[in-house]
Amino acid sequence: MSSSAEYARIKELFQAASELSGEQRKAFLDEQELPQEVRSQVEELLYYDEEPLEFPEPVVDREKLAHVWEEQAPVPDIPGFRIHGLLGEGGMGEVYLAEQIFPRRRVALKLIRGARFSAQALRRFREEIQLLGLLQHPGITQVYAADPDGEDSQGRPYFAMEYIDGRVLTEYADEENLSRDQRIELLAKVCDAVHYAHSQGIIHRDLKPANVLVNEHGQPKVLDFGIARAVGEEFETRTLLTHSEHVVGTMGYMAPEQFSGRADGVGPRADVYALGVMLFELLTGTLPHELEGLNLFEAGQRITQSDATRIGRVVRQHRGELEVIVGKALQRDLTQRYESAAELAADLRRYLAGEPIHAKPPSAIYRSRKFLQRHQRPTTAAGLALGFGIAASFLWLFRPNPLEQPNDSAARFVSGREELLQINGQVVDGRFGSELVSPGDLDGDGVPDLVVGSPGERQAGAVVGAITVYSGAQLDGEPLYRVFGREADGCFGHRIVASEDLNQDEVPDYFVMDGHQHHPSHGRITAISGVDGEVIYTLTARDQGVKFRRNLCTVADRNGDGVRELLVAGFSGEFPPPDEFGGRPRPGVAAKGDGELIVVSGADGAILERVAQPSRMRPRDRFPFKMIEAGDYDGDGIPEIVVGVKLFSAPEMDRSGMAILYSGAELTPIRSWWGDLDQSEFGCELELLDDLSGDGQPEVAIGAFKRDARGPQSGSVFVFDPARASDDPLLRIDGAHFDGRLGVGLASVPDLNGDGLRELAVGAVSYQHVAEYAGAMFVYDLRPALEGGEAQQLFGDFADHGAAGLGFPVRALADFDGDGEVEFGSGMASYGRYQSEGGAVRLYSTRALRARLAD
Amino acid sequence: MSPRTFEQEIYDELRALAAHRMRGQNPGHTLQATALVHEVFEKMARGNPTLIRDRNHFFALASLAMHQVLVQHARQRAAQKRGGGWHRVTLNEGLVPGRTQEFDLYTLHELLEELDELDTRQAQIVKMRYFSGMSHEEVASYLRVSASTVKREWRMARAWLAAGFARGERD
Repeated sequence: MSSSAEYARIKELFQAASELSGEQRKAFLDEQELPQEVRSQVEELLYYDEEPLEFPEPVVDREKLAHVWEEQAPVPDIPGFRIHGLLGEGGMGEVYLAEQIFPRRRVALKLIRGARFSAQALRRFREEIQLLGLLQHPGITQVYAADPDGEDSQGRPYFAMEYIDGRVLTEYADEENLSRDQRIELLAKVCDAVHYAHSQGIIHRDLKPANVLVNEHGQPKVLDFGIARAVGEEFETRTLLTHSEHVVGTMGYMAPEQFSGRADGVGPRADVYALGVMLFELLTGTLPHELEGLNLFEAGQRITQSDATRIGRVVRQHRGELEVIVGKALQRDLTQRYESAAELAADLRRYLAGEPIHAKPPSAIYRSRKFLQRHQRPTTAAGLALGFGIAASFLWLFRPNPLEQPNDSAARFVSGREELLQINGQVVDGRFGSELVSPGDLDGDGVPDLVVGSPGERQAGAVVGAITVYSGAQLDGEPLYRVFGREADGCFGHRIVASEDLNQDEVPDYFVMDGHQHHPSHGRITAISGVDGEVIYTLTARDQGVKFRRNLCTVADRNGDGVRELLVAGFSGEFPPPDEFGGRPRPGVAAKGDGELIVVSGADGAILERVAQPSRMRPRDRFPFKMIEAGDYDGDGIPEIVVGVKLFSAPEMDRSGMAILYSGAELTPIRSWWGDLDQSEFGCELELLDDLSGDGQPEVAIGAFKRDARGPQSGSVFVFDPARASDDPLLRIDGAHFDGRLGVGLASVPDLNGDGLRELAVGAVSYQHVAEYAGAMFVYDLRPALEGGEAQQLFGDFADHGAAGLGFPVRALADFDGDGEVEFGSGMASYGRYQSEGGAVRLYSTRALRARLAD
Repeated sequence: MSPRTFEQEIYDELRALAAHRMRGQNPGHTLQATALVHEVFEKMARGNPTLIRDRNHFFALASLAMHQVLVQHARQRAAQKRGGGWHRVTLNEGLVPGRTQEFDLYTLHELLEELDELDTRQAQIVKMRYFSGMSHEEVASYLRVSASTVKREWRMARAWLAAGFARGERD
């Protein structure tokens, strides 16, 4: 093996192929048309994957080494403190017992582990510590000192807090043999402390028995108030990944709304819920939701989708008023919960005093209404059985501080930056933001709505996939509805295409794709009713004897029924048979067949035409990569099609690609543009632009990002004029060395700088640590490039490390804020191979960007 | 001081120490590799307490150190047995109590050097898993990637190493 680039290529093939078995694996490898040498290396690895190297026991005696660490663990040298010893190590860092030198007192010193704070996180940390410093309550541990910059501690932020010599809440209650009433009073005291903090505007977010210590006088002390927030989300995400079991352990105390990454998700009532769980645990020794043995995904589903166990079912004596109190604290619907910890404490004390409590059992009318609501939602439960591993992560990057949240409900673009709104996927959403589309107004309020795909990721286990539909009038509100996929590994929602009204209800509908040519379904397209998410029809490729690749677009009506058709990428051939023993395919046996274009009737999903892709185009590498409907360049009244093709088999192992212009009428190639070898993914994204050359015909932008597993990631964008004979681009944009995969997302967006020309939004996702950021979205002014200069960046948005892949895809969407100009956005699906598995969508307000540029 | 130079310092320290210890030892002497590593780390931890970031960093450094010690030991033994030069040496002295399985450490070392050229991260993962016995989760936390990434890389590295061993036997 000669180079690391080649090894990276082989790794990609090996890892993809090792997920497949038998016939599928062989088919996959055949399809790649690998040079024999590469193929045999991949096959050798797959062979030895069955008999990998068995290592003996690790060389080092693990126990002894751990002992050395404990003895020799470097004690941090922090000016002003004398460290006495390690109290414990948690996901966040270490806690030391220390002595503050002046004023002299014992403190617990928390050092945050290896956290690299962004400027924003640092500011938040400072703000929170500031607020915490103001808390004065016997039930809350006080923060004495903090170093948010880590200036004194080798870059590791720390804070020093009151040292509590006490026992964990539940252990204390058991060891002291507290009676039922004593336990209730103990929890009421915890409520007092929590309410005090709430009144100061601080929410805990992570209340659990381990965070409540009871001292020798029986006074409970709540630890870590606001710390979860102060330390920030980047940290949380990492903790989740590396300590998922631990997270499931603490999920039992999380309120259902905490599983939504929404800005308004976590308020005082989330703490009330946690208090309810602790009360339940103090009184029964168990949690209200059985989460034992569940993974994150399943645990999240359990908490958000089923009611807490009624305490009287666990312990009969708790039936009656106590059950009503606990039930009210544990309401899934937060509006039905106690409004404050003080109200919960008051009811508990009324109960102890034998006075009438204020909580009422939920009425029959309320319960039946909830039942109806639950069953009106067109979510299928298919997702439940299919979660393996971590489904998603919390990505609360731009969640505004609840203290600063504007009360003005009209301020829809809330965030750190006013021109930006971020919608975060929920815990169950794998790769949320992989696709985003606005099919039009679905809920009838006159504002177009937004559909976001979360196809999930095979390796992460969230493989059913789902789409979530948000009301355009309230993008940061609850989703209108969600639709889940129905088949394992289908990755429902990996492509979503807007359509028109297909079922005559005067509401636009849309298509969602799942599966692909290697999936048992061979790919499937589902037409979804925009108004409620019901299935209008399903087209399963296998049933029709075809195979779909993961690509489709809508094209002009071809069968005269007035409805636009679907153009779907297909694979026309047969996979090679397994060898005579039914095992791995024999080397050198290739898949027979070519790519094809399949025209599907938009109205009913019938296959209208199949057009094989001529082999002289070297077609089989990956045909097609991307398809769009372009302008009518031949003047026959039918717009042409542009297809991007990824070429795998360039002899130098460098990858490149091409784009082919097809006659819309005949579906035959008219001309093509080729990428140079170093434009490694030429054709990865296509976008139709306004006329730039003055011939009245739209131009075509072609993305060409560079993929290099280790080196810098960069890329280019080319704009071609299909009506011009020359094969030279009209203009090109070249990314800088560290721009990430520039060109992987493209969208033509409204004129922002008032020069009369629309701008081009270009995504530059970066999946590994080679770039400065994990993704970016730039808006370019093309006019200077047309005039002989270079395209100018007007605006750039960057996602930090851990913030998933900003820039793929980039889409022009719809006018959400009613100013007559469409907004645009970018998905930020997070890929398990690199980060977590959640994701988000960022939307940019055209009006606000324009105003900012005018300043 | 950056971690890289710190690691370099550990190598140098180990080389010097191991050379000193093994000078004049007879070939049958069992190297107390673990003890050697412990000694170095105790020294390092005393000298530069803040350079080891955390427990996982410590284990990662230990894996590099172990690798160095064992390779040096193998080289030394080869020199003593055959009068110099690099030869394939099988290390099977009770480095770990109770283990006598033959394991061709020198070939592993050669393959790891090659793997390091091709994919540094995979080589790193193998060293941390094998030499320090770090778990997938610990490696993931140290490298700041997900545990599933570590598992996938580990899987391929093991297949690649097995292929390498097999090639070595055929050659």
